[in-house]
Amino acid sequence: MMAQLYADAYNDGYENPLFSLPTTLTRTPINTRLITEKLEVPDIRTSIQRPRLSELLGRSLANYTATLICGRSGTGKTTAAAICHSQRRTASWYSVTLTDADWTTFALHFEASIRRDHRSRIVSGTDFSHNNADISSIEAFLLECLTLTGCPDLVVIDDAHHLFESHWFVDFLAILIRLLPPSSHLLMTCRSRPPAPLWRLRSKQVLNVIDEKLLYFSAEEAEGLYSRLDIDMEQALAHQRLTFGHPQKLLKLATEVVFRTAETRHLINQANR
Amino acid sequence: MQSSNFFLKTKLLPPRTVPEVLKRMRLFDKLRANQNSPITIIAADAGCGKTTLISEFIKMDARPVVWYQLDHTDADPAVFLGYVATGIRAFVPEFGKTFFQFLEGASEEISRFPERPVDLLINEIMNSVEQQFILVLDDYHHIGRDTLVHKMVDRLIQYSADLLHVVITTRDMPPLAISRRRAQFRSMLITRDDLSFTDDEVCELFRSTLNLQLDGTEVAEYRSRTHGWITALQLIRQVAEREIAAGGSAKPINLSEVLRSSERDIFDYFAEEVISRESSQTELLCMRLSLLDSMPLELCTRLFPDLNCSSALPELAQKNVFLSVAGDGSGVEEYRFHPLFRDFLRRRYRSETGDVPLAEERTRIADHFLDKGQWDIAVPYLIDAENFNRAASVVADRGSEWIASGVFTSLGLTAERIPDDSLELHPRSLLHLAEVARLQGDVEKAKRLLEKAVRHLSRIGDAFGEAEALHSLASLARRKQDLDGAMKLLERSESLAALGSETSMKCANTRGLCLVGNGHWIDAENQFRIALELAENLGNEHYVRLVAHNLALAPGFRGDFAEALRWFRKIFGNGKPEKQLPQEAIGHLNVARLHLYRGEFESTDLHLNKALELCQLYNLRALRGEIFEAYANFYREKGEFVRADEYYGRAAAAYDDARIELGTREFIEERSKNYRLLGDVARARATLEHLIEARKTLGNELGLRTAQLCISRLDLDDRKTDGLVERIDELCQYFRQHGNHYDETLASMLLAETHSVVGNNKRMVDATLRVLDLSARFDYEFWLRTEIQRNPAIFGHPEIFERLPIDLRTVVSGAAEVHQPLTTSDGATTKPGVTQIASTFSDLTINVLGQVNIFRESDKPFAPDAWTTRRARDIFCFISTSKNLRVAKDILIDIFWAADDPATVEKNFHPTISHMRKALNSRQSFKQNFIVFRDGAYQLNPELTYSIDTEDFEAHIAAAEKAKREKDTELLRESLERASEIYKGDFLEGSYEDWAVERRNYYQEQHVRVISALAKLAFSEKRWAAVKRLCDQILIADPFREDIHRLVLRSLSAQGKPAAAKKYFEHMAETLSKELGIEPSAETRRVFKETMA
Repeated sequence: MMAQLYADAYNDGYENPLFSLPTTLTRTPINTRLITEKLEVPDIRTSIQRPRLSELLGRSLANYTATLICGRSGTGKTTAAAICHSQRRTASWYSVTLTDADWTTFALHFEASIRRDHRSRIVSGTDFSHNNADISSIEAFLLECLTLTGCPDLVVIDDAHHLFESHWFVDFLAILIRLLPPSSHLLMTCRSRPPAPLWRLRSKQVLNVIDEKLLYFSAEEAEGLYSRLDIDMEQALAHQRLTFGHPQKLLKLATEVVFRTAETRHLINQANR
Repeated sequence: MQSSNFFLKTKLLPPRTVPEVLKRMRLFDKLRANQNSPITIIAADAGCGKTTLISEFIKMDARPVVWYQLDHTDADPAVFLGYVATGIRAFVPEFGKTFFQFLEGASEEISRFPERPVDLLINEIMNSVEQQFILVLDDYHHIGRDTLVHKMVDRLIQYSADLLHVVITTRDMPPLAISRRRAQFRSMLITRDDLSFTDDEVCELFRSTLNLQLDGTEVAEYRSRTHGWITALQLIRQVAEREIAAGGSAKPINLSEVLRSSERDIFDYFAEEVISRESSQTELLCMRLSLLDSMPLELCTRLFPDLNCSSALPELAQKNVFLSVAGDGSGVEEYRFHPLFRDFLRRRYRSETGDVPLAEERTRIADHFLDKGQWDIAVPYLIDAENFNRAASVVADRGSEWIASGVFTSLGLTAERIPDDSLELHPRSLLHLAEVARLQGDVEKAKRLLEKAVRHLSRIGDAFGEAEALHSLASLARRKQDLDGAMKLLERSESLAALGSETSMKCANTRGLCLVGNGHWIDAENQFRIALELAENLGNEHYVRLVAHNLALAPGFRGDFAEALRWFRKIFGNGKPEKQLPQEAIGHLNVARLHLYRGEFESTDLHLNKALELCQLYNLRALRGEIFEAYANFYREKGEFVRADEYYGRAAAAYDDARIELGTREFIEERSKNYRLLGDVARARATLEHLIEARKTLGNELGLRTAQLCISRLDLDDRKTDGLVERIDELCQYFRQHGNHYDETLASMLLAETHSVVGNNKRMVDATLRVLDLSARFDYEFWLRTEIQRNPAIFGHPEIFERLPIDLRTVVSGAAEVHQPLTTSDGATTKPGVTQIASTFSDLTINVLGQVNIFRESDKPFAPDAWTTRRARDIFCFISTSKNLRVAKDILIDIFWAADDPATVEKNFHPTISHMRKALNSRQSFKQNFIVFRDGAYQLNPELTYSIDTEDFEAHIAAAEKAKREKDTELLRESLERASEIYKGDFLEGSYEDWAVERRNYYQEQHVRVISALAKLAFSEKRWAAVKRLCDQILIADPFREDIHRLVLRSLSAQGKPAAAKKYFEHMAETLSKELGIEPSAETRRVFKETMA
């Protein structure tokens, strides 16, 4: 188990290897600071174009207020969201981690993402204007955030599953969806099914869910990918069947084939020489 | 610490040969006689000829030499070891690559774990140096008594003794552990009494150097008045030489009067005589040069261009006017005044010029060094010039670089000579001195200095400096567990620090550590991310690695393995070259664990091997158990339970060796899982119950719960389901509340299984859905697949099946078809209550009875050419089969190089030992030193475990003898059979050296005894076929053993076969007659008669 991971190893040496156990869960307000990396959109320059998926997402963005891309690790959620982000005139990006389950931290980063202002600044845990995560504070915060700074066409929250167990998340999302201007769309990615109130928004035609099955490579897409990598079609179909088109697993197999082919070529060249 | 270029070549230059030196064979013999002990200490006052003696001795010795001239700056451990390693590079050019990499920025590490760099150096010596070499530590007294260097020298002597002979010259006895063992190493010490000239030597000195034949009275007078003090004799000789050269015009000296004074007065008197005969230009040159602590020719020429040093210094050295020259013949030269002469010159310079010009000259020298960026050399000159404010200013400006270079002890000692008011004028200097105190372990002093720094920095309005001091105070408070105090200081520091500065980066990291201490992991993670981003913006590679490691811990603990790996990649991945630093061992171990959780076995293996390699390189005892445990978990996950158990055994031994309390680790839980898989449920339960009690006592809440989770699994296996649901439910709640996602997932799965067993389907579905949810969020796919295979019925439930991704649905279908009892990859089907554990393991197995077979792990044999020479293998077998597994070096030489001359032995001995060591580590990821040298003998490292067939063979014979005495036939038979099984053939087959033949004969005899005893036992038990087989076995080796023939006759008789007995007797009689020309003995004939009757 992880309890054996050594804490503080680099500057405190090797003794005291165990973290002391949490004695209390009460939080003390502490200074926090914008981590700009969370607001950076992943690089999609080398990603694969998938017209079927783009069309699917385009329809969702046009017809719903919010879209949720839900799938396990490696199914290409973030890439799909980043492609959508790149196609919008104004779009915000926020990659959430578990540390953002804290409202102050989340609010600081969400606001910065909406403003698309990545300048670093310190915010004291005690002086942040909306540090209470009750409904009225959240509403006030979002009003200020969306009206004063102007809401982008697309608001992306990546890895939103980290927030699913935060007590304020359902309220936040309900208010955000309500306050979003008609020209704006909320796009979230997550690994697991969201809390029930959010899940129920599907039936109200507010939320469209794109699950991992839709992210898988179809046989045609796998063929297209393999032909670009100069791998024969039979292998493409075999691998697609083997992985069910799971993007990361399929790419891994394709990479192995490319690597093996290159290695074989190298050996042949060497032998010929 | 800088790279190897940091080290001055001139400090490693031995003194050049002085032509008119009397060879003192009596002392050389003493030095030679002590060669096999690890150290020689030459301890005597100044001017007793210590350096001359050893410099003359090494010229006659064939071994490579590292000559290291020490001064006060060498009291820093990093500097000291750096010079030693640089010295070794002179004859092993590739030496110390990892070592120098480690020294960079390792000040704190070295001050806290001084043994670590020494162990690394020793390992590198063992790996790269094949010849014994001499390390001369000249003027060792300069480093003082209060330094870690002494501990390092002790360790160096203790562990690399066979490759290294240390010679220390010193004015006082060094505080080394070995100095306290003088009685044991009587010959290691050469004192003033030894160095004093005897009458014969006095006579020879004057005869050989001045061609003066002294009579008995003169010799007795010189000796009694000088007490044989070589310097006084040299002075008399030099003055006499000048008198002779002056042809009697010089005023004669009243020796009786002069030699009655103190040694210093004697020196001054004669030095006055010597210097007064030089030109005033030379006198001035000497006086001005005496201000320098070190006198490389290039420096002298640059500093004193008007003194024509390049011609004057060689001339003076030639005259031997208490000036020697050191050099290696490659053009680099350094001049060294005799220390007494230098003191004399300095006194004379002061009295002739006065204090002010002297101070100006010192300041001029300091300026020269400051221009060159050598501020650490410049500051002592400024202090000597009493220019304290400027010295404090340099410390304030350059202190951090000074510390980073590893020379912190020297900084501390230097700064102690600067008055407080000067330091307070430049309060940043106090910051650096506080850091020195902290590095030296004096936390209280560090705190006092920091508080003073805060006051004075605030006074002068240096906000950034004050912020840095406040951060340092916070760091001290954190280390003392005053976390609230630390947080307040950090807030003050951050309010003063520049945005995005190094100080604010440090504040975020320290705050993260405080939050970790308080159990606020999520907040800590946030702070570490802030620190990491700042470190990356600042391009601070060191902090990036440091913070990335801290950052990876939090997700690692809560069970977000992919996230943890993401941060660890900042240390090990991203194409950066890897550094072989000790902390990387922890990093690799943690990365290996994370990969293991994710089922990425190749990466696990790779990182475990790297962790083990570093652990070995730096002798990280505390980590060895952790690594073996991780290996054991790795094998267990791969289904190799027996092998896993062997590694749990290694881990247990390593934890014990490092005195680590197992209750604080997860070792017992992990091992109990393996016991369960091996079928030893009772043992698994017993160890877990013991662990639970221990953790209750320790107040380890999380550990208590994880142990309870393990025992709940056993309860479910045993269908002890009363109250089990409630207990597991409570565990799930606890893990959820505390954010231990992985533990919660395991507990939820167990809960689902329990509900399934008790028939509560609805709650089984709820618990399994939670499992799916957590597995998806934290990517536990590898684990989930295993669980699906184990529990196809649960995952096949429609509500759950519907939620599974398509690829996992196929796992359910496949598992349902092939679900079978768990089988180990070692081939054993697990059965509760059946132990299949190999209870012992050894680090090295040595089989020499029959074909030689030496291995560490049977599936990782040594390379076929590992031993390089047959002799290396045979020496190893010789040591392994000697009493106490130990052989004196002299005996090894006598046996294996009996016909060789000493030069050949010198050339081949240590390389052969080196081949042995390397062979035992060939193709092994874990390097271990199996051969150690202690007190003049080579022995198998007593810290390791061995399985040696000759030892086992003898142990079984001893057990058989005991069983025979106690008439325990069962044990007797078992012991004899075991001994017989072990004897797979003759000792060291194929080797015909005398010693091997002698040992072979011995074991053969023992073996015949065993077979003979077995035959007799079989006879008494009327197992006739066995009697025949065993007797034949003996008679093939020795057909003339009449006692065995008699046993055969009795056996035939007992079986009622007189005809066969007759035929057998006749054949035996014929053989004896034909081969030996004798008849069967009377006893044999009697037995035959009885048989026939």
